[in-house]
Amino acid sequence: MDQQKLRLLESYCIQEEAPACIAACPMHMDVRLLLRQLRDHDMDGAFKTYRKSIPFPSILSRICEEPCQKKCRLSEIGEGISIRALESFLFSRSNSSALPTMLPQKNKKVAFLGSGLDALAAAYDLRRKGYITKIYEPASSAGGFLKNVSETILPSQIIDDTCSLLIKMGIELNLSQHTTGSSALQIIDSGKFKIQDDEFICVYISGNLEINRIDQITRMTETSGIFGGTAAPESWIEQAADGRRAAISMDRYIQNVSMTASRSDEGSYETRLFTSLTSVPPSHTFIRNSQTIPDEDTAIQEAARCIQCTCMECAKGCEFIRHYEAYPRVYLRQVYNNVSICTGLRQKNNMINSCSVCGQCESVCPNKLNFHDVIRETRQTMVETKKMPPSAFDFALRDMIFSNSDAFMVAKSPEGHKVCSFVFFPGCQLSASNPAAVEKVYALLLEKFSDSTGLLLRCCGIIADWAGEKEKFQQARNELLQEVESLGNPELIVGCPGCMQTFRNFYPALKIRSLWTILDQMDIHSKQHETIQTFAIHDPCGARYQPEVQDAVRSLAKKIGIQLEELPLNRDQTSCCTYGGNAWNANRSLSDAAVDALAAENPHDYLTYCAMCRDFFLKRGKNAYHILDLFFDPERIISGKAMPRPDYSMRHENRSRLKKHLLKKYWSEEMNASAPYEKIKLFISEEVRSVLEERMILVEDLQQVLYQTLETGNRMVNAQTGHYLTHATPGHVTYWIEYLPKNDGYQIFTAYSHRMFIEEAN
Amino acid sequence: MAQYVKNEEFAEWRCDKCNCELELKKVVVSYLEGSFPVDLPVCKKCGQVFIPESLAIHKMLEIEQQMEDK
Repeated sequence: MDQQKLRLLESYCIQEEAPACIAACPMHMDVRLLLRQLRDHDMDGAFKTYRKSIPFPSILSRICEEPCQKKCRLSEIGEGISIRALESFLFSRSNSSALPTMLPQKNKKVAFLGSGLDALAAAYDLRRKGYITKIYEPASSAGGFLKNVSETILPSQIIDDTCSLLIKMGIELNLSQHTTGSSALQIIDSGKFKIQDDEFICVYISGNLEINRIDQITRMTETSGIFGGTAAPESWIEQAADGRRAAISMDRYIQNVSMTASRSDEGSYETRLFTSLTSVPPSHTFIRNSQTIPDEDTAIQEAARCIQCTCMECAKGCEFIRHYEAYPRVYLRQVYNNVSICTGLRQKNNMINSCSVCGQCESVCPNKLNFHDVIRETRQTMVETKKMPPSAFDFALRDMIFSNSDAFMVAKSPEGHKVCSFVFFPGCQLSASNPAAVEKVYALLLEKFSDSTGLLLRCCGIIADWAGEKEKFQQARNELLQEVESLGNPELIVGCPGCMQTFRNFYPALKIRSLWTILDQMDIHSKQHETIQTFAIHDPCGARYQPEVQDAVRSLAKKIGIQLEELPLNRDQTSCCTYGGNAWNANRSLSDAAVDALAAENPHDYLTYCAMCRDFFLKRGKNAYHILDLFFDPERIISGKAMPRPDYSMRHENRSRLKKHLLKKYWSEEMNASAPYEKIKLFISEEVRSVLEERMILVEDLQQVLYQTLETGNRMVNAQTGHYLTHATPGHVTYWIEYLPKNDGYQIFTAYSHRMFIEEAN
Repeated sequence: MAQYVKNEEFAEWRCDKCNCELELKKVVVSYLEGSFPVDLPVCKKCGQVFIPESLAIHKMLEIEQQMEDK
């Protein structure tokens, strides 16, 4: 990802865009923050927020037209927040005579002809920047059109008090100057301006009628150095904003820097921020009379109505996005920086490897930001530059190697056929979770397709793609394609939604069909059962954008008597169980939290059609079923008894046994002799087995270590317990095993591992 | 030199091959592009190393993870 792509992708994430109220306010007062502070009883903080953007709180809290309220999203379903009333409440309890902070005085003078709200606002801003500021007003009092506002709304005393404050700030206010507008001005040779006996670098003419052409961005007139206000103001707040815009230009003019750079966000605009109102109840204002100052309780109640507009659509179903407490715009920058770092710690490695790469964020994003491909590409870069932490996906990759080894891999046409029209591809994890169901499905398919269905057992390769291992993925892909070719290019009947998605994305030439669609059409349970149980359906992330698969499973469920409830995010927007992206391997605590959050979305047992989703739910104590668990064993629908979840070692064993059974049953073949270490018999208690599971140590790892070390006699012995301790490094990991010989095998007391290499003397 | 193993953690263990006690000795451990010396219990005679469970699952794991992020 280069800088250009980073900026483009960042622009898709609109979380940092202003909410509608702030965008509508021409002064961009931070309404959202002010309301939050007020809601949280932080009155001083709220007034500070108001004061930071608004020059004359006493005046504007009385006469602002509240463009913020009109644009408040709550007004779409009820009434917008009465923000001006809350501002007048905040002003009423503040110290109105406090002077704002000011920069030290500069020896540069600016003049104002007229004293309308625009001029007062500009004079206030420039005085704060340290300019010597003088106002020349023809009338006997300041304020211009402000004086036309009804006394009940804006008492003249308020205008007088504001003028006193300006004088206290050091602004020279010259009243009754009987000159009209620009006729008082003399332009002198140096390009400066002369009014009476003073020379000024630039001049502002308030609401002057003689000005025909003012640049709307800079508010400079055709005469360089002369700036102007609004002749016929549409609104008071716009007038104050015009003054502020001119003050920024005058400051830049004096400093001789660009007056037009970076000004696109000034003034009112339509925000790009998306905020869902789906779960927001309509509400109405607590402010009955907008011209009276509300009491504190009412003000707080009103502020508490604010929904604090934000997008965060992607966080709603994604524990990963919630966990790192930001949003894709921030994550994109962190990912970019992490990859670009030359020295020091790559602190975001774990974050990058914890994403499920499932595509949910893109499916729910208002701008369809594709963050998961950034993660995929970043992992590929990490692998290419040898910066991928070896432990991140090692266990998952070893599982893929197992699936594509002789221990599981099968590619066969039906006996007596060289080629076949169909081949059943159950996927590696369905075979690991429920091998009996795979056998039953295969028998059904042989029956349906008159013995023309072959069998293809292996991993689709997605594990390698998730791990950023492009070459390993290509190798797995090529092997699979060769096997399909050797079977006569049959159509694949796929039993795993994740494999389906992998084939669609990366194997466009393969002919594929979903097992669920076939089962649904078979009408095995043709006589529809009465509804006997309700489950919540969880769509696996692999089924995203596969409506025919989503529909077929729902139809099948109905046929076997299951009524379904939908989860808040389902079908194309479904959440991943964290098997996706190998996230469970890289960050187990985040994986557990994600599954727990997903499991809590509905009190019913879950029905799914991905073996890993089922097993991840079961692991976290949520009763869950794979649809095949119920399809072949409808008794479970009534008993509510889920199938046992196999641990990692059992997942290997199940796959090997499945291969053995099927080879024998359909091809009368014996499996190749297993490795000699597999003959070592182990006795492992449930307790130790769960320690092994937690530490991702497989039974076959222990067998390999014992096989390597029993002959050498390299081991320690404990004088108290008599237990032996031995270790070996069959691959990249060193395993330690505490054991005792028992009967014809060995009892295991504990095992642990490390990846560090110990340079031993022997 | 870092010492992560206390005497009581290996006092009960002996090398079964040499029937010999263990002693703390400098051992070089390495991971990825880094290696450093650590005091670890080893057989006085044959040098076979003993890594206690607590060392492997805590400190060693922590260091491995730090080194993976370098």
